[in-house]
Amino acid sequence: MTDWIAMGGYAAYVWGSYAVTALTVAGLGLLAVVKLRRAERRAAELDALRPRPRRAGARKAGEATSLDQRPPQPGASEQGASP
Amino acid sequence: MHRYANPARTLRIVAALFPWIAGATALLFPLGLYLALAGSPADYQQGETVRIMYVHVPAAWLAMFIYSVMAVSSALALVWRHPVAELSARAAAPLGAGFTAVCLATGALWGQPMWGTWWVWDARLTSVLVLFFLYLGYIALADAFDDPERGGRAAGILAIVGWVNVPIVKFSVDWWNTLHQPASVTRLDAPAIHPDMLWPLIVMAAAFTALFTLLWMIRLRAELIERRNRVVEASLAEGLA
Repeated sequence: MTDWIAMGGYAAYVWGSYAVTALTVAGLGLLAVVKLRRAERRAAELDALRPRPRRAGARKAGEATSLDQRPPQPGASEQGASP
Repeated sequence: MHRYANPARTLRIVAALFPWIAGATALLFPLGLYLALAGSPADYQQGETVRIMYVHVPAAWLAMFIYSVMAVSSALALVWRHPVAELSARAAAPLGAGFTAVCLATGALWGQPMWGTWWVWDARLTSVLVLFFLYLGYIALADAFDDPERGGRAAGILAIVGWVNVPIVKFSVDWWNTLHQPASVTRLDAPAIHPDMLWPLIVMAAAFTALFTLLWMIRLRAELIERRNRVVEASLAEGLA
């Protein structure tokens, strides 16, 4: 076991290579999952913004903060507003 | 190819294949790592450092393969206006950059003990560094425009033109005198590597490829959702104005 970890004196190079690989792969995986989650969350937000015919009654009080309560002002989305 | 131009169909296919690719990745990595780190012999000249090969070589193969995926996808996107193809190239680019970085880093970690240097400007190492910069250029260019479609087109041209570097990477060891050794697996005659080392390498290459496919599917799904989000945002903005 100790022999195996020592890698014939090249432990830093061998384990270093596997560590660099593992870290990079973990980073790529994390980036991919974060990107997907963010896209899905935004899709859900946009879905909630979509005007629906049966929107009138079935809504809780806390949900009324979204752009659904239009019209607040035109161009309230990300574009439009400029300094 | 046109059958996959439909984003909804692509999402369905990706969803159907996903568990299989995930399962293959989960099986191949433990097996490959065992073979690479314990189940294979040390080299008679290089000793235990030969184990670096089992991550270095698959990463190098993927670096070339992923760039080729990007070039083919970009060609489909530019010539046939294939809507999923451009997103496929976009989804692949950061993964290609990552595996190229792994190839360069593990190469340096192998070069120091075996060659006595972390880096030399020989044709193989230099052309792989150029490949890495091509990936970075693609990523930067694809996001450099307000209109993602224009960015995608400009980056697509870079992907296609830059593909000329892939055969240069592959054959650099034959065309020039390099410190890097020539190919020992993909030769016209039999591989110049013992089966005890060839099999771990093949399993690790399959594991890396499965992992790339898995991450590429996740990113492609995200790209497709993001594009649909942009369409919805545009229509909402129109409705509000």
